[in-house]
Amino acid sequence: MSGAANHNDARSLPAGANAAAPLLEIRDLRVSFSLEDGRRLTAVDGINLSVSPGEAIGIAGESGSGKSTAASAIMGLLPLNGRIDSGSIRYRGLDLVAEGAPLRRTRWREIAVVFQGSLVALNPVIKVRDQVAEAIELRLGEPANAAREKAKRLLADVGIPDKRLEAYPHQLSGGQRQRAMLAVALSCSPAVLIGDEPTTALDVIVQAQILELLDRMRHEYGLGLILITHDLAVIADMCDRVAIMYGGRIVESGSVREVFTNPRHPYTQALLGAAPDARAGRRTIKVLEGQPPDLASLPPGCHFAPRCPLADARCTEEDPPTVSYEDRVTLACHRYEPNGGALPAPVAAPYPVLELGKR
Amino acid sequence: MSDQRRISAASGAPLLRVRGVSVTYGVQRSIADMLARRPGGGIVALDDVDLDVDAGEIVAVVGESGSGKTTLARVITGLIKAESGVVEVEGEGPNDWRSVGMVFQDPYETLDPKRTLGEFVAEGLEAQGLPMDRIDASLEAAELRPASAYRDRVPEELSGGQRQRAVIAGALALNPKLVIADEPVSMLDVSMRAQILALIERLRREQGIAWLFITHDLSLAWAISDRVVVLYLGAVLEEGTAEQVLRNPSHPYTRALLAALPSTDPRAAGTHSLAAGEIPQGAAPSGCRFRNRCAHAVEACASARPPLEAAPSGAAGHRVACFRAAELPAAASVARHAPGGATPPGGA
Repeated sequence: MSGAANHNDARSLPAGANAAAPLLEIRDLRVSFSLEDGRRLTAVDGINLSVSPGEAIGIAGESGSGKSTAASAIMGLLPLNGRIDSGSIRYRGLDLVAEGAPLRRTRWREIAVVFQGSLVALNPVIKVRDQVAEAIELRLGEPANAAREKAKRLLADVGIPDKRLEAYPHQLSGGQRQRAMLAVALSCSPAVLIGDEPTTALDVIVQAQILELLDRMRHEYGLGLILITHDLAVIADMCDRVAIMYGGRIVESGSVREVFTNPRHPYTQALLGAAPDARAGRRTIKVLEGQPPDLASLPPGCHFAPRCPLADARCTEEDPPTVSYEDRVTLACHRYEPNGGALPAPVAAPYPVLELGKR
Repeated sequence: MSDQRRISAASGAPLLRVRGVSVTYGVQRSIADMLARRPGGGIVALDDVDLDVDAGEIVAVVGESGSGKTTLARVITGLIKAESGVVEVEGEGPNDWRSVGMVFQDPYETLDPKRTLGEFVAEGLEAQGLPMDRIDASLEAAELRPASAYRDRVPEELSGGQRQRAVIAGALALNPKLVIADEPVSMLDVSMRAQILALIERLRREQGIAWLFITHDLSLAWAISDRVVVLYLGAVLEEGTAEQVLRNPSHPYTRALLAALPSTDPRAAGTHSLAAGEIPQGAAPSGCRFRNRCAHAVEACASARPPLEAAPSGAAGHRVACFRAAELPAAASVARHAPGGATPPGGA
């Protein structure tokens, strides 16, 4: 698209940011929530993550993994009982966590988000085109007419036909609403786009259409994309790197190719093996016993230890340190020795394997 | 329907027999329609659907939202009355069933938040006049062990997976031969899903329970079912064994569903949207229901509904409703080497 080429050149960075610094860098981020009974619950427990322009990072995990909380923290959209306890979120070197950080300036204009339920994220009584135009007027200060023209172009670009411009959100199909949400998110030409389960509510064919669109936008706009999902297959399809979260921590991260071909952490192995795969013709599934962790009462040591077939006494006592191997993979698991930084061979965790389809 | 299958089923009549079931929603006319003396625009939710489930068989009904799959579940369980057609279990109509259980996507559709699991199971037993000593055995059969640890708990004290087990326990208490499960695992985390799939498979193996497993998830259908029925806008477009339908799909819609499915397997990677737009919200198009999204549609597809007929694979029981099925290239090449899908602009 014509607007895409000069998208990044035209960008004026917020005060304090530095174009030479990494696009988005998260260091030792800790986020907690206060509970009604006065206790504090740690939802994100010291995660590290970075995204470069044009790169797609997947964050995967089940409920209680902390993946969505991490996204809210990056967007500055934590609920009132949540707070960032420590760590930094740097956008082009500018710390968004520090006091007085220009969050209002960066939110949407530098970092935008697309959520799962677009029906709640769109205003039900405003026509789609007006919603996109309003975002442009409000956030970029453009005059109404120019904003409406830009909105029309953006909506065409995400595949909303002209005849639907004056439709209200409820008149659109699920896929069209998600396209409109994407137009709102892209309206201020952000450099980072976070998708929090952006296709989870959609049917599989529409999901493929939206993923194709996201992929095209990422390449055309040079977006740094953070895709948060429970569906590892979506990450395999879309992302360059992946971080697997469990109980608020990243237990394994690395290139999608390396992590999905040679999963090392026992939880990564379970997650990859738990879902059958009609596309690949795989019916065997690994059965991971037990329940996802309760963040209000996490076990000491490795949070995954109670469900891990490889766990021993050390796992239930000491937190496993996160070790980086050859700058390709990070692992937080006592089963793997630091190894002088050399990438260790995967150790297969003996999960019960269920052979479905054996009649 | 499927004469071949009925001949092959040694016992004769299937356990569940659905014939020619049709349901239309929203037949009331709007005021504008009345003033203009137009007929009301009813939306056909199910159109002449046939379906068999044999004893001990797991049949998956796959479809997107709007396919009619939940309407089908509700017709079979008697929650919605079909306008026409027959639903029989062991040759009996719905009022005489003793052997059909139900599991819905949301356990709270079935569980009462104020009642303990013991009370919940007892309620079903009482309604059927069955002895109360089955409560513990039912909970344990659904892998809520030991039953003493669960009997006095209320749903709120359970995880999502445990709540779904409780619903299954309620169904098991009635000694079902068939359980209708509508998206039973779609609200659960992936590791919980695997546990419930294992339970369903075990109950079939050990107790011979047949399942009608309704899902939008092709991979679940692939893993759990013997046979797969693909539903689109209220009609069956393809059916056959899981191998036939999902490894050698004949209908362009089934192929599009499969090609759109992301995979963690690098050999199968790369999804493609082979079909344009979305499932229509209103009335189905004339002729083939899928034609306005289909890359292979020709004029003939608009003029008549393609009947459900033997698929080009020639395999027994593999049937497809597509005029062009015999002309289409082999499925394997579609699933593995599809060209970068053309993203259709806009929706339906």
